[in-house]
Amino acid sequence: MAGNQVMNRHASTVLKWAMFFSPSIFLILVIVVPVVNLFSIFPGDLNLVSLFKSGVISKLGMEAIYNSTVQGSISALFSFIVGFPLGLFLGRYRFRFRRFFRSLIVLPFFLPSIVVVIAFISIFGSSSFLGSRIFFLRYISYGLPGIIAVNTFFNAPLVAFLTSITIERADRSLEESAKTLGADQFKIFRTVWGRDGVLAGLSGALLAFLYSFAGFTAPLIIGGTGNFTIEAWIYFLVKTLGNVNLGVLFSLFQTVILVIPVMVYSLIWMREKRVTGTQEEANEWTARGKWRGAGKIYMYAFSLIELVILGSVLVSSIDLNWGTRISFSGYYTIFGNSIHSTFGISPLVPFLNTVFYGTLTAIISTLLGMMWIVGKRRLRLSPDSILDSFQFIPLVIPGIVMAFSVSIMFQGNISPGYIWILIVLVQTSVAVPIVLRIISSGFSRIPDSMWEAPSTLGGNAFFEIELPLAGSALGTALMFGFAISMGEFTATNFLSTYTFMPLSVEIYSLQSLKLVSASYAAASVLLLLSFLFFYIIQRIGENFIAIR
Amino acid sequence: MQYVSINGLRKTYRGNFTLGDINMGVNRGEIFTLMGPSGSGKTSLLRNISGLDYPDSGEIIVSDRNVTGLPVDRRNIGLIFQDLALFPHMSAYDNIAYGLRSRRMNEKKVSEKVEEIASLLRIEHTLDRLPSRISGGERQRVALARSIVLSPDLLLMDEPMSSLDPELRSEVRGEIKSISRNLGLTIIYVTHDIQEGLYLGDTVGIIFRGKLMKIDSPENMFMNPQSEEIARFFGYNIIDLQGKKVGVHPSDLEISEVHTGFDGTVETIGFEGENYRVSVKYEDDQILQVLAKYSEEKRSIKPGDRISLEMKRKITITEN
Repeated sequence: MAGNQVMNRHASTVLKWAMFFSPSIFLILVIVVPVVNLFSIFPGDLNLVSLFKSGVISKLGMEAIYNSTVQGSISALFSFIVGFPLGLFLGRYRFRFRRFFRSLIVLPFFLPSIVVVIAFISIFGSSSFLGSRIFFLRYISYGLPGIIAVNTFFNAPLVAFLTSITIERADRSLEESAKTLGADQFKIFRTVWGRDGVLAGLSGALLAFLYSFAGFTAPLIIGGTGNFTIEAWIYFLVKTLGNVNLGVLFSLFQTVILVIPVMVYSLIWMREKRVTGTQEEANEWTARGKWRGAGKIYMYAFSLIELVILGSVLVSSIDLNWGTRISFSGYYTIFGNSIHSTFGISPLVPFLNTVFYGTLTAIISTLLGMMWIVGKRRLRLSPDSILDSFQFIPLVIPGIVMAFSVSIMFQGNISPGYIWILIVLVQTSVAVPIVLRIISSGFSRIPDSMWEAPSTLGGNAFFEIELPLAGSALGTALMFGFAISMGEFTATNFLSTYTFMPLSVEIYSLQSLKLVSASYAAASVLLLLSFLFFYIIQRIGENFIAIR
Repeated sequence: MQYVSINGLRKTYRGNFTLGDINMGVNRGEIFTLMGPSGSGKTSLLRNISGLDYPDSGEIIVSDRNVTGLPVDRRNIGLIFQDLALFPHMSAYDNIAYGLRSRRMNEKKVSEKVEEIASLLRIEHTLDRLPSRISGGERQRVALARSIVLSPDLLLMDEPMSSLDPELRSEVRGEIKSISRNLGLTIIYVTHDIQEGLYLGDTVGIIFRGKLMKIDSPENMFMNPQSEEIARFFGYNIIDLQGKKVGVHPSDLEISEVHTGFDGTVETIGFEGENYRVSVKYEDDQILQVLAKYSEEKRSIKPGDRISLEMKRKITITEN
């Protein structure tokens, strides 16, 4: 009897650990093992030194590293310059429609990267309405300036969001106490509320560096080979030139280089959480000051530019040259028979693939997240447990490397009809870190006594108490899982064939085939879908927005 | 054998806090109050008894059942948490019915039981409200109702009144005592509030650094703590008198109008209501606390004054 009880307790503890490690096990199987396998197939007679000694390889490699670093650094700098003042304003001041504007400003970060790139082409491209009339605007639709502009448009909202969230949660009593001690406004900014805001902005800029360093869509579509990042080179080398060895080498570069900024980011994030983690609710400040007016003008200007850029995709999808003739030919192409003749698939396939991948990614990543958080809570592990480090793996290993390694490891073993499994696995891996953070933030508000009390009363703590209480976080996690799948382009583009392509890859394929109206139409559909999901997420849990 | 019996219980937690070696017993229908400073192990002991944690060794017997290895939901032990842990998305009714429904009781019987307990605790009017919509005292009663509706063999209460204001606290503790008597409930009640612990307990246990130091009646525990540590916990002044340590409670020291030879200098003085609380610097810089009854003459005492003290009662300290 007593022996059975002890066995049951051990079994229960093992189950909790298994639940806690389920996302880590998933990531190890789906990412780590294939990546290790990828690096292990690297030919033994070719070592890094000898590869670098061969002129072409070292030139390509250095160029790729240079491009990634330059694009990452400049994009991070511009994202901070543009996003930080917005974050200051949104975090510090209260005004009408503040929630609406914050949602609007953060929207680009939520959108699929391919939609943002297509939007830039549609408004600033040389044959666009604006680009053909205002010459210098063309520069921000291609080449390095175009890539920086797209990256900034994409990441400045992230800097703004992180800054504003931190500033609005700053402890008001600290500011008041500094005032009573005679500190002036600048000193209060520097030592109290602004300090954490700057740190949050910088951590956003570091993320901007990471995303831009590992940029793929913009360099591939508007950069040209002269601006290819390491990520774009991996795709080009493997998919276009068929040079797998060099692809492996570049993957190794990419992974090793990214470890450092990811570690720095993790340290900043953990420190920030320790310092600011006590204040959960936002302060309802109604601060007024001379900067309020300037902040408002800046915010309106940013919102207007954003709306114009995104709106241009919608307008261009029905009127390529704006103001000439409204035509739905792009939509006829993507929903008509010409898709069948071009790609050999039914026109609804990309749409259905998008929904299918999104649904599976959302469900799997949320289930993993739920198992993880329940295991973690039942084991009473610390919120910043070092055992969670595995979740940062998808940040260190770029999408293209994941796709490349998974395809090397599995594609020979599974029938081409099951490629969709690889796509879902990789998309889920990309979604896991974000979904887990959303779920964690939802559950952190539920005290331990809320699951202990049902245990003493004989009930089911998870289904009856935690699930309803964390419902909005789980809903948000599901939506984010879906949205990440919808926007994931790098790995999906690498893995998919026409039969399995989602909307994002269809847009790229149409663009490559110069079917411009059709690509705008497909981008518009994806934009509207993303907008819909973003709206729902905002409605059910605006506080759970996390890091892409 | 006592109704609740804990024998040789030991538990080491991460960070090396150790609970043990705990031996205690509670008679049926009694309230056992467990007192000690913050971090002394009171809550840890309750968690081991309830089954939320499992001891490394020792046994827990409740109502002739060895529950040591049983999972929390099979012990029939109720637990009221410090934050009450009322489910915020459920009405008071659903909170109270939660355990009954978990036991697959039919809804008619659930309803009867909930209404019966609600009437006993005078919370019928709150049943359809969410916990956030009822007062602090009513929340206490809902939490109590949720546990006692299951007729537990033992009820554990972990400082459930810590968030109430003093007036409400004294009202609720009176109710807990009367409910315990009326229903014959056996309770282990954890608190660091001395007055609350002494008032509620039929028996009182003192725990320091994970060790149960002493078990006694409230009167004996307070009037003759014996140990210096326990005496200090109850607020006693520890004075070195001719090489012997004695304990004197502040209320047993009076400011004398005649010279007693037991003199000191006033450090601070403040009026607390019925009494003045006076800090007096005695020999060797010892600071003594004095609770002196109000009188017109005492209004003129100021810091720096020399005063004579009279010791009305003292206890001999026999242990450290």
